[in-house]
Amino acid sequence: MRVALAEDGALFREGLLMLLKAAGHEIVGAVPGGDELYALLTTTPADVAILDIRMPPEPDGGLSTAERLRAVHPNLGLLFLSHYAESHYLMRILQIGTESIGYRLKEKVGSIEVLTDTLTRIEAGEIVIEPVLAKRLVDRPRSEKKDAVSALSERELDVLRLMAEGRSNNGIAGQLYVTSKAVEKHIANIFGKLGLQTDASEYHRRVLAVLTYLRSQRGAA
Amino acid sequence: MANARFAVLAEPGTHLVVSARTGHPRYARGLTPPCAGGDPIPAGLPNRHHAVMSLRPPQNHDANPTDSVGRCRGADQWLRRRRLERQLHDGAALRLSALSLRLGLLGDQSAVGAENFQRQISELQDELHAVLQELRQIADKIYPPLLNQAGIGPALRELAAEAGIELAVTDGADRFDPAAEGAAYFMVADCLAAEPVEPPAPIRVTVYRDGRLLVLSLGGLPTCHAELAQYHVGPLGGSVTTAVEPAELTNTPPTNKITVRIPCE
Repeated sequence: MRVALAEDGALFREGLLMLLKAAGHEIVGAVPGGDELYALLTTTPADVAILDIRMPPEPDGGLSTAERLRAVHPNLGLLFLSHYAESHYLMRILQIGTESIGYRLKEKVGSIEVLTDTLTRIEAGEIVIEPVLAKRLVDRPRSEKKDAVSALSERELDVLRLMAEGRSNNGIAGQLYVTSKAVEKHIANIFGKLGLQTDASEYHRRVLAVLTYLRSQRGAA
Repeated sequence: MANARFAVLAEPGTHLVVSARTGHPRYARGLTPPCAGGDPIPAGLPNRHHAVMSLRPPQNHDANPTDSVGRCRGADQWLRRRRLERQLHDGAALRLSALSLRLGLLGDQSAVGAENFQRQISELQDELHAVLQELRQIADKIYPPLLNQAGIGPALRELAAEAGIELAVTDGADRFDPAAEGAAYFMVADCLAAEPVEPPAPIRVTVYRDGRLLVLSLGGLPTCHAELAQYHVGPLGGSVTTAVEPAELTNTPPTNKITVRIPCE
């Protein structure tokens, strides 16, 4: 996979480069800021760009650069890395796009297996969301959503957490060691209990529905 | 209190303590009524909900050089906080994140079958994540990075979501200087932390700019928090007023409202 990297912390950038090389990816460039990444990608194609959220141009150059990149390279996958997993940034990222996009904590991509899984899913068009953040959204929903979420069974909560991470039915089935059919049934139950539309057949729309539900204020779901 | 029209009214049996979460003072249930000694409530006011109070009326903030020095010191404090948070982010936190990547690489380079070694690497990475989470919590108490990057509205929404508190925030795209935003944010954070139970209705926060003032109104919390608000905005030359929104204006029971005005750029 061809990967471009923009990160202003030299130490972290070097560490990530080593990990990407060890995973067998082709590094098309590693730069310290958003403007440099944008310039690089005008001449050099890549499959996925990895961007630090908090880098030049300040204050959140990763996001502003990604908006520009998505406009001119709509098929380029975008992986945001951050020191913070904030639902505010998640919502901003989902405004940039709901396909081929991901948001992960910096220290959580620290293995070849996790990094490659994250990049592969993004290249395949999926949304990848930091499990720490997905878990927090499900475990601590906004107060007016608590009743609805507390009506879910333990297994349904497990499925909801994995849905909020952006996992497909097969991905959820693989994580929970159950069949895809069983996952479909759980998802139908979850959508019924939360009062969400079940016709969102595209998984990224489904992820979006779940995240919006968990994050939205009263009456906005 | 010389300028106060009426007393600052606290819930009975509360006292001022230091918040373990933010390091700032707040009210808590306890032995000492915090607001005792204030001016008597004027006759004709049936209860505290009808009080309208001004802890410090709006002033000409540049009139007194001594005040100006005080405000500079107050503003410096918030700038120092923001620099400290940035130092944590760019220094220790980034080094720990990079260390996690190096450990992952080391685990991958270990001999095939060395499962015990790989498990220990994985445990070390989990430990690093826990350390980073602690650093994030410290950074939030110094100066929340989201407040710095996105402003007071997003930072307060995140705070409420984290704490599971229902908070309706109305804000525009206005940004203010770090000192004003810091004081306003921590004032709300401490007022929320001081509430022993979740209020029945959502707490409402409105933030807007009025010339060179950051104006923040906090509806739905007891007006006893006005003194806590003054603690935060006073060093910047800010003022605090309290009032009650009548039922006919809000279509709800009468609601307490604390409004702060903070000089800003």
